[in-house]
Amino acid sequence: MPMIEIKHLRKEYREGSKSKVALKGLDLELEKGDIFGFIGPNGAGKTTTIKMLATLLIPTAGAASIDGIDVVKHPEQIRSIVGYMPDFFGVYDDIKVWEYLDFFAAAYRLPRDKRPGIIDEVLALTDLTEKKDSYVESLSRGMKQRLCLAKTLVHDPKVMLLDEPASGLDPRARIEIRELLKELQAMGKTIIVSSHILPEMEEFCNKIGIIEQGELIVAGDVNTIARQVRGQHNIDISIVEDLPRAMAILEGMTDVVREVKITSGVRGSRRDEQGTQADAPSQLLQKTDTSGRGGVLQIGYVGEPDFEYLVLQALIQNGVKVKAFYTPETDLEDVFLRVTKGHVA
Amino acid sequence: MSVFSRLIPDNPVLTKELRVRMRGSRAYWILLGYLGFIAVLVLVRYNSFQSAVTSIGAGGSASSSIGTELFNWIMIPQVFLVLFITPAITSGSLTIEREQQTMDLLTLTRLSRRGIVLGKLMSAVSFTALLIISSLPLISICFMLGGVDPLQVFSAYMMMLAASVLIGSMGIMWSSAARTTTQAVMLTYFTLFLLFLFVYGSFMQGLTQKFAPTGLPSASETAFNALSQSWFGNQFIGFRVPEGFGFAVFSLLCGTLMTSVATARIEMFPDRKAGTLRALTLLLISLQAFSVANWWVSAWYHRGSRVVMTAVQPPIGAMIIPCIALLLLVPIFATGEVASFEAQRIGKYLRWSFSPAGFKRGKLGSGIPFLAVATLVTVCAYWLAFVPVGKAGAAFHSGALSLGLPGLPPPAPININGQPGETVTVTGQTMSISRTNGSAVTATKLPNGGIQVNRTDPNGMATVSILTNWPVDMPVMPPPPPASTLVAPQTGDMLQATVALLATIVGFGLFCVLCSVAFRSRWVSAVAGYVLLAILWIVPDVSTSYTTSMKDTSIWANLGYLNPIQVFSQICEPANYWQNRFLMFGHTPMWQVCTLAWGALSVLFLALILIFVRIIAKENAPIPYEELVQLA
Repeated sequence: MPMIEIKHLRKEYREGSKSKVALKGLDLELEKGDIFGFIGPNGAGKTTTIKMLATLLIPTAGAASIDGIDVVKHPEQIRSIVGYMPDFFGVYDDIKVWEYLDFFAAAYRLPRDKRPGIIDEVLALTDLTEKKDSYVESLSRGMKQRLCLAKTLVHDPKVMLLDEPASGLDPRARIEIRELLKELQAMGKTIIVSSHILPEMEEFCNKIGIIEQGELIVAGDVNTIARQVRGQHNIDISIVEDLPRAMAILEGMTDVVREVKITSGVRGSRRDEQGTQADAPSQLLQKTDTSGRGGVLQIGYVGEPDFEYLVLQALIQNGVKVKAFYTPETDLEDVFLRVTKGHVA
Repeated sequence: MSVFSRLIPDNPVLTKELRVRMRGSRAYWILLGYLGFIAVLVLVRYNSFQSAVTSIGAGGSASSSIGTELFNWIMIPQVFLVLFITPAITSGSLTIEREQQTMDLLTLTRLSRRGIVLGKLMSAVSFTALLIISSLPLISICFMLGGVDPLQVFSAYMMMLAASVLIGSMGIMWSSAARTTTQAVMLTYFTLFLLFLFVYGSFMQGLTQKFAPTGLPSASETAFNALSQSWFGNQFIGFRVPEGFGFAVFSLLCGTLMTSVATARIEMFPDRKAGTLRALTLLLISLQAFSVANWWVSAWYHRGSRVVMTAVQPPIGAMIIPCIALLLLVPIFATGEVASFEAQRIGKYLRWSFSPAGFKRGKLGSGIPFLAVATLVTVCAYWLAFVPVGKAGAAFHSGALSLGLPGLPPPAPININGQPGETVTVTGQTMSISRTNGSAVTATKLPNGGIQVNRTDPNGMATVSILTNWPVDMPVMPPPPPASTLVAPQTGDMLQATVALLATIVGFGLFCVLCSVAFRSRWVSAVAGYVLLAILWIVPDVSTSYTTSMKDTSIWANLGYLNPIQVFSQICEPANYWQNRFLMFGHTPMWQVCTLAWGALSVLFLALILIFVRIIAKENAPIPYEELVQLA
């Protein structure tokens, strides 16, 4: 039996007499231990889906069950096996970290004498042990995020629903959250994690789904999807000078190369500087002056992965000064950009 | 973990709120300010008394009155502080969870909604309790001076605690309904203000003095007197209790009701909790009806034997209080919305609404049946109040006419100009006028049956003496007047009043339902209901006070026919009722016109409702998922 089963889940919001469809019939099945990456732009319906699974919203139609329990019929049972971390959440003022966790432990009806032990455990897991007696509002954003995750773990849920756990965090805090999720994965929890930032998903999700305008466009195994949607992968080539010639050579290799485009002008790769920003400034720079200068080219490579070197070889043999030749690491991002159309519902 | 902490109920919300509330120095500053304020007041008052006492030299005899007054000086500011501090704490309690975005996290725990609301309420009440209990030592000054009874102190503190529960629950109720904390705070204080106006207006002023030209309290005034007796008197449903016991009971009940409203409102399906709310409402309103009627019935049947409790109006007037309460409840229970799928199968929907299952759900269709049941239950409570005095059957004959009070007003004043030495005969009574040095003597028969003698002295001075003054002291029931002079109009009695009340509740309920289906907004239709109610209560009386004859009667004065309180007034005091009132149908009994008018309006409203329901049915909106789950 699948751990999470969603059938034709639909949600409409009423705004006066008009209704707005947030989710148009979602189907999904996840097994125990799956880590499902839920990807989509803001307003695509990720939060709506997660909230319906967490029994915070009532579906307009369709059904969803977790561990065989219907989320609408038995919300109380669902709540005890699900841990939910919202995308925006607040903390209480004037309360200490351990009191905050004690509050939730008591609210989940954990026996009074077991609470201190559990609090220490989740604090250790989320690396907050030394902050135990600090006030919650004094924590940094990343720590608050981890505290919220700790709170979600207090009742040892089977299923975790994490809505944008890494949003608004600096890179270091994001890595910490990622490590934490890997630990949870090792603990055998079924996790649904949503994000609009992609690279962090690839590493630990074994399934992903891409959602846009309330519709699940693709869903399934990470590798399958990558192959399905990709068909090609991108190679960035940084060239010292004479960009037009290099372009001409690449465009000549029609059997393996598709879509040659200039992603940056003279000063080399901008992407390197910007790290993993989701937006692509490259399109804006396409029309820069190309005569006789160097720059970064991006090609869509459709040949066998092992024979990429042939492209490099061809360039070098033709006297093009290649500075760098690499596959950018933002693969999921490309998948995402390819399948979505940039609409925001 | 200490033994003590195990005694505290394991309510995490309460624990958390208490931890946070007493954290830091804020709570102690509030306590200091609170006690400081009262202490300064006491000091100022005590000093001024002391100087007065030393200058007059009154000594011990004056000290007890000083004690009593000091007690008031301590209690009155306390009451105000408690009434203002408690809602300030509670009215933000649920909205702040929403604003901080912590409500979802709280909802998903295994805490019950009741636990959340009660935790919030208890933490606020316990803080108020801390404040008022900390003022107890100041009371000791009053004991030193004398004039204050320990039972009095107990009563005062009991009432303050109960009031803080009541006001605190009201804050939580608004907090669950409002979107923002500001909104909740404003709504809470506004309600508090209305409540003050109501209590002040009804108890201090007497709502309707003009009902009684004789100077006797009118039926409405007696009704509010009975209400205040049932709250603040030393008797509650027939038992001797400390003063304010009734108030404490009703405050706690009302508080329970309001916390239940708050609980239901933060529930995912609020209307599924309607059964509890309705049961509590029934309990509250019938207990109130019983306690008011109980006071009135014993005051009526024991008048003379207990000097304090005397009612000059027949006990049917006690039904005015539940009548007002029911009318105020109508816009709450008879507004809502009809979904498209319900409108499509309206027959089945109505049949379901009238079933016990429908009563447990807060659907619009079951609002009017519930109100009708509530009306009948309050009438039963009124009837039950006659049982302790052993006159269960008398409830049905508790109107003025059945009890032998006069029906129509006596004829207009007659002036008799007699010559000195003549014997002047006044209808029904004989009186001789003796010679008085040639001066003119005039006797006037007054509307209340008294005889007024005016004698003019030769030097132009007039002396007036009222010889008979019935029925102010009313030692025995006066004999019914002869049938030839007074034709008694059929004012009706308990059963007729019930019919008129039911017709009003149903008709007014249908008006609210009509507003609901026409405006499609619960707030708007509830406001429309209350506006109509205010018009029906205020306009006819204002208009009547400008009316002096049958000719200048206006449509506004005739709106009084739609007010069931007028029905009770006429049943209570038929003799006085028509004295300053000139209505369209003359002396026709009010209950008949009231019933017929509301009946006709009901038919009209029903027809309009059906039209709007057809429109809603055509919209064909999908059936909500939760309803499908419920049906499955």
